[in-house]
Amino acid sequence: MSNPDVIVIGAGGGGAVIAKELGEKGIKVLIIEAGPWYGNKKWPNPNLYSGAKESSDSNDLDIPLYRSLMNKYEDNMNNLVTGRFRWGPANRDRAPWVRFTPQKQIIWQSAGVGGSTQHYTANSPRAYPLAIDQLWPLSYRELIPYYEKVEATLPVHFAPTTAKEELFYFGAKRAGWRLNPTLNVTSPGFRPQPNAILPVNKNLTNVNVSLEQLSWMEGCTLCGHCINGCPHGPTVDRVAKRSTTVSYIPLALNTGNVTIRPNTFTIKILTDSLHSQERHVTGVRIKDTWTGEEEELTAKVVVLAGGSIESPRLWLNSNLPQNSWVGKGLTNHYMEWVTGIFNERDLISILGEPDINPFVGHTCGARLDFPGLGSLQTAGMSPGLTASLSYGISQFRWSIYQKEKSKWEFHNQIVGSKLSDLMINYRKTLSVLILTDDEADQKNGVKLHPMISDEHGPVPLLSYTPTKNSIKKRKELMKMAIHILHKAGAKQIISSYWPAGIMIHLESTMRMGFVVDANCEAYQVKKLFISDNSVHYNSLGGVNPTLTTQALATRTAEKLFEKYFN
Amino acid sequence: MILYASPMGGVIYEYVIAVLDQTLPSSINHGDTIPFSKQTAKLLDMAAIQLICRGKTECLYHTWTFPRKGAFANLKRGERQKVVDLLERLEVPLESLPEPFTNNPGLTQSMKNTLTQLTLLGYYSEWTGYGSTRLKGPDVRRIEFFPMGWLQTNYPGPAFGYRNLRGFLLGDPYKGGGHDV
Repeated sequence: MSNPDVIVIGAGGGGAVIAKELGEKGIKVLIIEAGPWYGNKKWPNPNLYSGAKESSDSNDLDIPLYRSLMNKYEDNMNNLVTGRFRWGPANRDRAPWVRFTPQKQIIWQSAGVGGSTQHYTANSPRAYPLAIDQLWPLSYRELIPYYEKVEATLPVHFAPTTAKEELFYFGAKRAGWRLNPTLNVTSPGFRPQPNAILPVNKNLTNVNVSLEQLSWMEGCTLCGHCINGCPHGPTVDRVAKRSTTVSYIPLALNTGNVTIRPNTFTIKILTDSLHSQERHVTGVRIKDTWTGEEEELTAKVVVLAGGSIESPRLWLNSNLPQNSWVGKGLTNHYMEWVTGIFNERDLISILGEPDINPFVGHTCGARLDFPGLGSLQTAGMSPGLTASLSYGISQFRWSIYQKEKSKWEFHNQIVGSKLSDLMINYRKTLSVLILTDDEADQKNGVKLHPMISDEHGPVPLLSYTPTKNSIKKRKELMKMAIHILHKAGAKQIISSYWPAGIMIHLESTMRMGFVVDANCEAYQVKKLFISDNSVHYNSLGGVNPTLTTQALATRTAEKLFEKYFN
Repeated sequence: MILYASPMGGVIYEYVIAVLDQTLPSSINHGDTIPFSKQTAKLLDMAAIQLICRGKTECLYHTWTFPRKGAFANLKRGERQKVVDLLERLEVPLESLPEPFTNNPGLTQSMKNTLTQLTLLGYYSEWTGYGSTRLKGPDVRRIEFFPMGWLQTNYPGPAFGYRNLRGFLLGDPYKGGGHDV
């Protein structure tokens, strides 16, 4: 596309939404995406050959191709170094793109059309009103119509119940919690996860329709592969798990105004003057990830949607005006992971079945909210991810020579025969992910590495230490999770004690009110908007960030249009 | 046809080596490729010497004292774990560690989790099922066996779906979100 009105940097959870919204208003949009495009005929072998330059036609989307790439194997899909869902170039013979940190870290982000929503578990709760009102430069009430629009577009539904959700609800009830039947959470309680996953196919329990046939039809089949990349549906735009690559991207293409150029890394944001205090954006400098060729593109408006690490990195690498909050205030929900192991007799009496089978159903289908502390959610994954997340990562030492706290509760990294004993019980395992209402602290964040660069400039250097409040809140949530698992009948409970450097929900590195205004336009660079998790003023009270980013992207599209195109 | 039970428990180290060697791009080392697995082995050997010599005023051991297997590989399992814990606690001279660990506490500390996680992902994912193609590129590998870790965990493998629907705790949020069950 030549001479776009708007260039959007990044086709992930936020970029795809703002592109579709602007496209519907008649604005010509070019999305620049660093990673590959899976499921588009113009890239039949997206990890092997460079393919075409760009695509703007929804007829290019191809479900058999998408299925063949999303093959549900966890090493092939989720390995952070060599998997299809990694932060790196399309060519898997090359290394991923590096980030540095002075602490133990895992950063779970994905390049490619769809961004990290390719592997996300589609959890789409709204922020807690308590975490927005009187804190953000806008109110929760102002966000509601945008939440509603995104929820209807994705769409979002409460998760169906399979064994792992039923067991969690059972434990939560016995622990004294109540069902909270709402999308606007103002008090504690449990509820099914609001997920961006199509409703279950009505024929799922009809044995005359085979499971393979069902997988080519519309609707969730409870196959449990949300996190490995859901491939099921009749067409790309009707795939069950609503990554933006199957939801907003097809809608954006349908407007006839949106073009997407994958395999292209934006290395600089261009502005009109280096010296005046108020600058205006003029375009971007990009680099092809296959050929290394560079090019400059111009546009009236640029939307930065590279995520909470790359957005501040690009700002800093573009020599945009100094701002003491660029890259600062990083939150990551200071996550923790608690696993319960159950015995057959208890499961039969509670569920009527001898196993939980954590690989069945929505990956994260049940949650407990506690405004002021954060949230808990069930997580059931394939065995490789389960082993590495439940037992393979800890702030503490190996269990083999660490004293156990009690007979049924361990707090450490597990190896040897204890590990295989636990994994033999994989089908009787229920894991709970803890998301803390993490405080934004200016000490935490992203800056440029003083010495090390890659082909796109100085690489990001991250640091994160939880605040005292975040540490206190995580402890409370851990107690709640352990109590629920105990009440559900778990015979062993393992708290992983994840290190603080687990980066799955990254937010608040380009905060609203500090770097961008309430309309998400940069204070210091006019016509530059930001549309990703980085603009969040805080960590939403400990709630999954994607839906709020998408609601804000919808709102930003309106504000941007009114100001510059109306 | 998929065959069962490939005896591959002993080859997970190949997975760890292969993934490690693809972790770091050459561009961050002035264009030279970093054989990350070899450097990791050197790091473990140096930390092993550190453990062996701990508390001794004079230590005669060096990394070349163990020509066949290396200092780390000569230790018993519990001691090997202690060595990795030394790295995690950074009780090693950071300035004399091999590249890219030199003065890089984050990467050095991360190695405990990296080595553990890779071992677990290699063992419990589909990787052992790739059989004779396991060391080929990710787009060339083909499943030849039912993976070993899936036998141990009784995981049935990727599925088209499951009929285990138990109902709905809440209905459509746009029709009031009332109880269905």
